[in-house]
Amino acid sequence: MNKTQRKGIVVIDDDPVSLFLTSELISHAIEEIELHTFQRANDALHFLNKSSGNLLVLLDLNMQVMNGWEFLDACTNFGIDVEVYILSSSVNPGDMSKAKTYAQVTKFLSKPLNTEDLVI
Amino acid sequence: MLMKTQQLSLTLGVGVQPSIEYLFSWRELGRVFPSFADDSLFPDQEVKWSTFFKKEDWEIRTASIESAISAYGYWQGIYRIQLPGEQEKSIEEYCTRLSTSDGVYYTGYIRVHENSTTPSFLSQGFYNSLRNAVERASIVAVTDTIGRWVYVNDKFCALSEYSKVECIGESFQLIQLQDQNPYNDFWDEIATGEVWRGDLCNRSKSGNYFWLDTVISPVFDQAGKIVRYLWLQTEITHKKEIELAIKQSEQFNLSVLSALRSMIAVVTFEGNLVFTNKRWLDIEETDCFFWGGSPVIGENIFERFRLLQKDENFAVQFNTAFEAIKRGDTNHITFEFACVNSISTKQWYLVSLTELVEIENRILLRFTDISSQKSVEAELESSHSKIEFLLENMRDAVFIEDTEGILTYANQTFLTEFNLNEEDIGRVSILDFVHDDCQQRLRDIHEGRMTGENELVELEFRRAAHLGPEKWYEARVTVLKEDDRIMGAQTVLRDSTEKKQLITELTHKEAQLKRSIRDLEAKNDELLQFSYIVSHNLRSSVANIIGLSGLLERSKELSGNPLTYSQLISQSAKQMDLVVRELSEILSIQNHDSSSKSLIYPQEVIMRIANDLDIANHIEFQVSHPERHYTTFKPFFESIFYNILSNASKYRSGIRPLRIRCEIEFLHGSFMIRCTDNGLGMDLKRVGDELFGMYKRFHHDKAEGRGIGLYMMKKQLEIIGGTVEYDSTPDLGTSVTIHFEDKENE
Repeated sequence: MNKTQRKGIVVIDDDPVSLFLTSELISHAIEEIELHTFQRANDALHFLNKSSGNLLVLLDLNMQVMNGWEFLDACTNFGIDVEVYILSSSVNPGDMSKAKTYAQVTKFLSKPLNTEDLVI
Repeated sequence: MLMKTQQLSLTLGVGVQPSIEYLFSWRELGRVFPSFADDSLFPDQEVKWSTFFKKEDWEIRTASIESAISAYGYWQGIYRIQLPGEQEKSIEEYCTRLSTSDGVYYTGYIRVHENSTTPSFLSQGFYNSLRNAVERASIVAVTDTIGRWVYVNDKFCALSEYSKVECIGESFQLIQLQDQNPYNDFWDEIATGEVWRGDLCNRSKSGNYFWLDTVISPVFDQAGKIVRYLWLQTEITHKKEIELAIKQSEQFNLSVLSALRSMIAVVTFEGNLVFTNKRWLDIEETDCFFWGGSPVIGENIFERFRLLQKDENFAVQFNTAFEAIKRGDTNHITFEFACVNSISTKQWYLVSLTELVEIENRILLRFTDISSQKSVEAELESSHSKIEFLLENMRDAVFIEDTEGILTYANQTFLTEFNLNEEDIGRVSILDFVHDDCQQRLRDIHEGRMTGENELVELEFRRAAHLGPEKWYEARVTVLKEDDRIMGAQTVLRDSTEKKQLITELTHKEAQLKRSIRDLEAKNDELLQFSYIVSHNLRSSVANIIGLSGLLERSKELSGNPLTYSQLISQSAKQMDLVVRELSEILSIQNHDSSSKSLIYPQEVIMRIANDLDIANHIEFQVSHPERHYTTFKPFFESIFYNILSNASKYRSGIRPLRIRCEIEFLHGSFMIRCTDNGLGMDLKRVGDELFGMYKRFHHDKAEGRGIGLYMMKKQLEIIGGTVEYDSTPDLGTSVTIHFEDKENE
């Protein structure tokens, strides 16, 4: 993971503690990578819509106002093509199978983040 | 050439085969033959013309005239005759045939020519004309005295298919069928000089049969000796064939009669047996009609019946019938009678007597064994009475109605059930006992039945209200038919009241069960969701603690601040503690002993909550019955309004001062509380089903919400008996309407 093609990582989680934890883990593990954190999925959507390049999104599902699913649907609607890992605190079997229906979702990870799982 | 002509008179012969004869009075005759005029003692007495002829001359003359008339319709000829004491005279004779409705008449005249040169009798000219006439009309042949042909005419050749050359010199037996013809009879007869007439069957050269009506006349010479036979014949093959066919069919009729299983006999009016069929000849000793042996043609039937005559029943009926037919009162009589035969078996007979139309004074007797038929009838009768017994004693009510719907039969159970007497049958209709609600259905079915639509119908009806409490019957209606014609219907009724009640109860129970299952399923889903949500919330705190403690351990080698990590760990632990407490709170709702109810005044409770929330100045009440109280589980009631009011307080508008209007309206059996604020409001279309979901928050920017208040409120309302409705418009406000059950004020 020393050689990177990724331009950066986007973390979306409405739990501030979890968001902090995830970004700490990433920044300790990977040097020199752009890290963008969003507590509201809506804001992340705006960011992604404007940015370009190879980004990876770590997405929490259980969020208020706009949840993970709504975020994924919005990406499709806005034509945002970005790779997404789902990062959830619990694994609901229904969520697993639902995630498979989204082409952009490539991994389903459980919190806390194990940085070995990141393919950069 | 005729010097003197004097007409004698008209004469006549009558009938189908009359001799062409003339009758004269002696006086008439005397005018022509003077010697007769004076001598006659009886001038008015009539004399036959044939008297003056030799017998054979007369017959040739007559046969010739008949043939000529058949061919030409008339005959005319001239011959000479010499009467005793008279000069020879020339006679001109004319004869024709008249067919009238009375029969065939011959009419003609005789003219006497005196002093004439007419040739003698059978002169050549006369003979020729006669022969021409006869030849054209008839089949003519002449044989010698031993039967060899000396002459045959063309017609003969055509029919026999033999040429003249083949025939001449051959015996007439060439074409005769000896076994068919009475050869000896006629040959002997004509040898005596008599004319013979009869039908002869012949066979042509190619083997075809033909029948000839034949007259054979001897021809005499001057000395009176037979020299030839003249055969005058007419073909009658067609007539013979018809006769034969009739005869054959008569024989056929007889053979049919013989083959019949019935015993058939023909007797005269005196009772003499003239015919019996085979069945009677084969009569067995055990049969009632054996009468001591097979019947014999000619014996008297009454003699033969003497054994049976002892049976008065038979004797009276048979004799009466026989006499009635003899008298001509009727031409056909039948009766049945029973007798016991020699092996003590009872036999039934159908006896019929019929006058024969074709033959006078004949009666056709027919005895048919109908024992097996009778035994079937007896069986039927016994099964009828068995069925009747069953019908009368069965628990089901049974009735039969005619096409008009009128009862024609009802069993005892039916009569008892509907409180009827036997006399009511024939007067009442089933519709008289049917509840108004079911009338139309029964009428429709009756209609359908009469048009042949439904042959078997099963239905249920309620008995008429005036007959007593609600009672139901199951009816099974079967159409009754006779020869494909609908005669009515038979119905079996069974009391189905209890069954119906059971079914109603069962249906009710089933619905209840379905409802409980639905509730359970809903609860189960809810619990499943609950467990996911709770585990998620617990898990997320745990995940944070695990992650942070990992960082804390490595904080020395990493750049992070250990203090921050430990603070965050503590925060996560508190978060987890909060979730656990909420969980127990939610669980406690389900397990609360909500039966310990107390009396409250809603307005008072709500006002106190408003005070606690410090919004009492923003609330105004509108109460329909301020004095009315409500009995409920107070902690839940308080919790519900705490949630409503605190939400109103939390999500108030930033630009409008908070106003809450609280309406309380007591109704019959329930009351309504509606709290309307002027706060932020929500887009309910977006929120949808999740409004009451766990950990659902809709105002992310405002205030600290846990997303659990409305979930709890819903659960509490379910327990104390109430429903909630939300109405909200973003930036206008929210209106919460709650209906409470109030059984005490029902």
